Amino acid sequence: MDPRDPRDNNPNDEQAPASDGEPALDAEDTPPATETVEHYVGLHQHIERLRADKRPQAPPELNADEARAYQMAALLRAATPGADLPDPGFVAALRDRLMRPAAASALAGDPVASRPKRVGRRGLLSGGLAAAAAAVGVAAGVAVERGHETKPPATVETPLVPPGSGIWVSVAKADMIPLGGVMHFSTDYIVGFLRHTPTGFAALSGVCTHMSCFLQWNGGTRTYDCPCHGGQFTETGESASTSPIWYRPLPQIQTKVEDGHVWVYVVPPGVGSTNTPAAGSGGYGAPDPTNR
Amino acid sequence: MLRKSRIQDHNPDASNQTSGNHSLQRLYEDNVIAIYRFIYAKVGNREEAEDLTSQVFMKALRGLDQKRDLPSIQSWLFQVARTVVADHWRAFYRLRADSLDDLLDAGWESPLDDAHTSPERVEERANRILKRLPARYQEVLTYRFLLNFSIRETAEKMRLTEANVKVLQFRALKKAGRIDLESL
Repeated sequence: MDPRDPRDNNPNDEQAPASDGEPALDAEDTPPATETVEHYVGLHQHIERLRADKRPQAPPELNADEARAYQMAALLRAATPGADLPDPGFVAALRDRLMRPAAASALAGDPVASRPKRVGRRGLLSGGLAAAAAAVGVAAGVAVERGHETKPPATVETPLVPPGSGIWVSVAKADMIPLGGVMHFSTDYIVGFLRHTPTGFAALSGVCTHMSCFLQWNGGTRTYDCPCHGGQFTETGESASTSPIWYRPLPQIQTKVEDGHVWVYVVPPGVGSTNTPAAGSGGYGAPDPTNR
Repeated sequence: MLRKSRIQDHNPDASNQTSGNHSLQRLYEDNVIAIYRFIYAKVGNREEAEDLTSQVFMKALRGLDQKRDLPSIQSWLFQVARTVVADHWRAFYRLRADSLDDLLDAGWESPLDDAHTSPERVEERANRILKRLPARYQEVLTYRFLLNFSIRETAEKMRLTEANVKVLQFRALKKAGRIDLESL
C-alpha cells in the first residue's frame, strides 16, 4: 500500500529533499527507519486543515505513536490564541435547536443532522443569552450588538470599559510577554489581546466589530484575523487594508503594570448577568458606547 | 470558574415541559463553552468541534429524563463528551483497535477535571510539553501553532526549506506525544 518500502528509505533524502546546502536538521532528529514522505505530508496536510478550522481528511491507518502526534496537533491548535473559542452564532443556533421540542425529538434519532446552521448574530444575542453566557464564568462568545451600524463610528481611543465602571484584573506576569509579543487573555466577561510595545503594555478587545466573532492573532502577518468573514485588524486594532470592508477599530482596554503583573480594566463580576447597560457594552464586544 | 449546574427534578409530562426546558437551558448555558473547548482540544478544528458539541448535547437531551438528581450533571456531560470524541476517533481516524486501547490505557480518555476545560489549562499543558522538547522542536511548534505561522513563514524564520519544516514538525509532534504520555 505504501509506495515506499520504509527499509529503503534514506533518511537524509527525507530530511531535505531538494535542499542541497540547506542547514541540516538537528542531530537529535535521529530519523526512524519507518518514516516516509507520506508521513510528513499527511501530518502537514492535517495541520493545515486545522489551521483553517476545517474538518481534516481521514489519515491512513495510524499506530498509537502516530495517533498521539495527531492528537498533539489538535492540542497545540487549541493553544493557538483565540482558536478554541466557540462561534457565538453556533452557540446560539444549537441552543435554539435544543430548546425546540419538536426539532429536538426529530434530531434525537439523527445525530448526523445535528450540525447547526450558521446564523447571523444581530439581534439574536441581546439579553438572555449574553447574560447566561456571562454567568458561565468563562470567556463566552457572546456579544451584544444593537444596530451599531446606524450609529456614528467609535474612535479608536474609546475604552471598552469607561473609567469608574470596571475593576482591575491581573491577566499576566509582565515578564511573560517579550517585547513585540501578543498574548490572548480572557476574564469573566471580556476577551482580548495584550501586547508588549516599546512604550508599555496595550490591550484590545478580542471580538470582531463586524459580527462579534472571536479574533485570532496571526503572528505571520501580525494581524488579528476574523474566522467568520475574513476581516483583519492591525496589531493596534485598526481595520487592516486586507479586510473585505472597513471595520470599526477594536475597542481599547486600559492596562497598568503593578507588582510585576499586567492588569486590565474590565467589567466587574455581577454586572454581566444583570443585563444592565454596563453589561451590554462591557460584555464581549458591544463596541460602540453611543449605543447605550 | 465553572459553575456546577443542577438539573431540577422534573416529570416528563407536558405540564412540566417548561421546567424541563429550563433545566436543559441551564445545562446548556452552563456547559456549552467548556464542552466545546474540551472537544476542540481533542480535534483541533471548528467544524468537528461544532459537530461533536452538537452531538453531545443531543445525546444529553435524550439521556436527561433518566438522569434526574444526578450528583454531578456536569461530570456526566463530560463523560458523554469523552464517549463522543472516542467514537469519532475510532471511526474517522480508523484507529486499529489495539491503537485505541493503547491510547485509552495511556490516559487519553483520562477523567476530566474542571481544570482541563479552561483555556489556561490547555495552554499550560501545551507549554509544559513544549518546554521539555529539544530547542528546534520547540521552535517549529511555537511558530506553527502558538504563532500560527504558515509553513513558508516558519521556513524563513528557521532558515530551512519547507520540506525540512514538514519533517521537523512531524518529529516534534511525535516527540511531544511521547512526552505527554510520560507525564500522564
